[in-house]
Amino acid sequence: MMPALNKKLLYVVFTGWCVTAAVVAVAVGVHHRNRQARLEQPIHFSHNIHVVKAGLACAHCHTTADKSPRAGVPALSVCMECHNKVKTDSPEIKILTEHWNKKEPVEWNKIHEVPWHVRFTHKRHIAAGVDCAVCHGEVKTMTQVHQVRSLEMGWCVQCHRQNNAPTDCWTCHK
Amino acid sequence: MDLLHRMILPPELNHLKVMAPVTVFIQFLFIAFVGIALVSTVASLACRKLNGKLSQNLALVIPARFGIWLTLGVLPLGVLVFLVGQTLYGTKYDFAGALALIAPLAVVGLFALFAYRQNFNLVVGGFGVLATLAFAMPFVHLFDLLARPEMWPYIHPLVPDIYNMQALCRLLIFIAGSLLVTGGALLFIYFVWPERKLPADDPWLRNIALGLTLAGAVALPALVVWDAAILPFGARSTGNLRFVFFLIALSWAVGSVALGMLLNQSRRRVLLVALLAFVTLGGELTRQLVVRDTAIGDKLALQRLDAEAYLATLREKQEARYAANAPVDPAMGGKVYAEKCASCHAFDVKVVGPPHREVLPKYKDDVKKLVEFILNPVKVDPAYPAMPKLGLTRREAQAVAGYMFDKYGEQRK
Repeated sequence: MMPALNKKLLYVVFTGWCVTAAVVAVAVGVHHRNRQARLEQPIHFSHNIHVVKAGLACAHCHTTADKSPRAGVPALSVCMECHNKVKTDSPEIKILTEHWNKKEPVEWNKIHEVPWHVRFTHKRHIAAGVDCAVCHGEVKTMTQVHQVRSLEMGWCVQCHRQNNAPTDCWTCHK
Repeated sequence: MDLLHRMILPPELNHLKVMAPVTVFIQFLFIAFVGIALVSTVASLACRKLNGKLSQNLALVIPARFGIWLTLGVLPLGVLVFLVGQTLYGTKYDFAGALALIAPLAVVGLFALFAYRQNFNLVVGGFGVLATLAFAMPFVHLFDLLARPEMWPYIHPLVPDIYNMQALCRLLIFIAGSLLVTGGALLFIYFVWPERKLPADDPWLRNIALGLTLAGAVALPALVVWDAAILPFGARSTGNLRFVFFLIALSWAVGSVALGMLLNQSRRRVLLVALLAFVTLGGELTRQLVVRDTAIGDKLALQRLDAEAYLATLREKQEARYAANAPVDPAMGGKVYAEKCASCHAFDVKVVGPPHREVLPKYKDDVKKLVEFILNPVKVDPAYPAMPKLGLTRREAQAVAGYMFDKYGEQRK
């Protein structure tokens, strides 16, 4: 039989171990929540409503995706084409209208970002027939956009290899 | 493989809801069984030199009866292949095919473990352990991949690369869970179950069982926190974190009781430890389901939409048949127009869409064309935004078209 002190110590160590795990779990939760907070947008725009329910195509608003490196966040005027009449009583549309009246653009948070040394272009990918969802995930079902692919080099190169796209360094890094 | 795919049918919404708890239940049966078979064999092999009877007792926690091994080992695996195939029907990566491909490895491994319980041969037991582990690695990784839809288009070859952190973490969770339930099963079978209760209490067996449970209870909290930390964005949720806390609490409870029993050489609370061990494994599998559900909620939503779209086409066909024979209700046209069209269109002026005065003459001789446009609108004039699909039935579209021509006619006069 072990001395009573050692027994107690073992209990304390085990309980301490479980408590530490719980504290780390809290830290993980807080970290994840902070990451989530960075996704908050000034207006709760839902792709689900616009794409699935209203039936709009991606290119309806992201008009420059097939013409330029950037897919382009639509100008306020694009939103107002419909929303000067549609759903004007919604609180979110009221915020939108306020921006429109003040002639101030909505400052959306950028979710998909590649490092500065990557020269990514939407145009070439669209021309190659890559579907938007390959890199952006099923945005059409999202009520809040979040990044689902890593967008890291290994991930890009994997896809380039599979589709016989060039893998020279200067394809993406100038 | 082709036969397998022909046997898997597209699921419906209610079907998907039922499949989630059924999958967890079957997984629970299968993983608990494989885990106990694996760990008890390893323990039995380790004690061979020490004590022959003890070694046999450890292995025989699952008796060498073919029926038991078939019912708890092979059948659940077959059912899992179908459940996974059906849940993920239509997705890019063939999970059911991959599971079916590694299933023979499990059958061979389990058969060797079964044979070991008859002849207690070191080579047979060792081979069984290795083969089962070789199956367990891709198996747990496949279930982990279910929560990573972003990886699905890039998994190649059929059984994917298993050397990554996530796969390692899930394998360790499987081992920790197996330690827990093996300890629980040994305690339950030899100290509670009346038919197989040991005539004389074997402190060695009891201590090994408690030690296995304690090892599992120590490892599991760290592993679930690790798993939660490395989850991809789409798979994180508050529900998962709640389960993590729940599992830490359960591990603490089962570990404390087992530790107390070990230190005091007590025989009380054997049933409690056994029960808590199994509940902990069930909790962990439910947590993994929550993770999967969060991650592939998008996919399931799409599947639901597909099912709804299919039902809508059926409804439309019925409507069309009905509309061909039934007179169109004139009041319906006005009502639908006011609800769905008037927010963007007027007769004389541009609102969001063009004024009817400009566009209606195009359809003057062809009302059907207008009905088709209302049902499936396309962008015509670059000066206006595209008209969204309104989700009207053919009957409603016909009524609206009729109403517009009536009204247009009236205004022209």
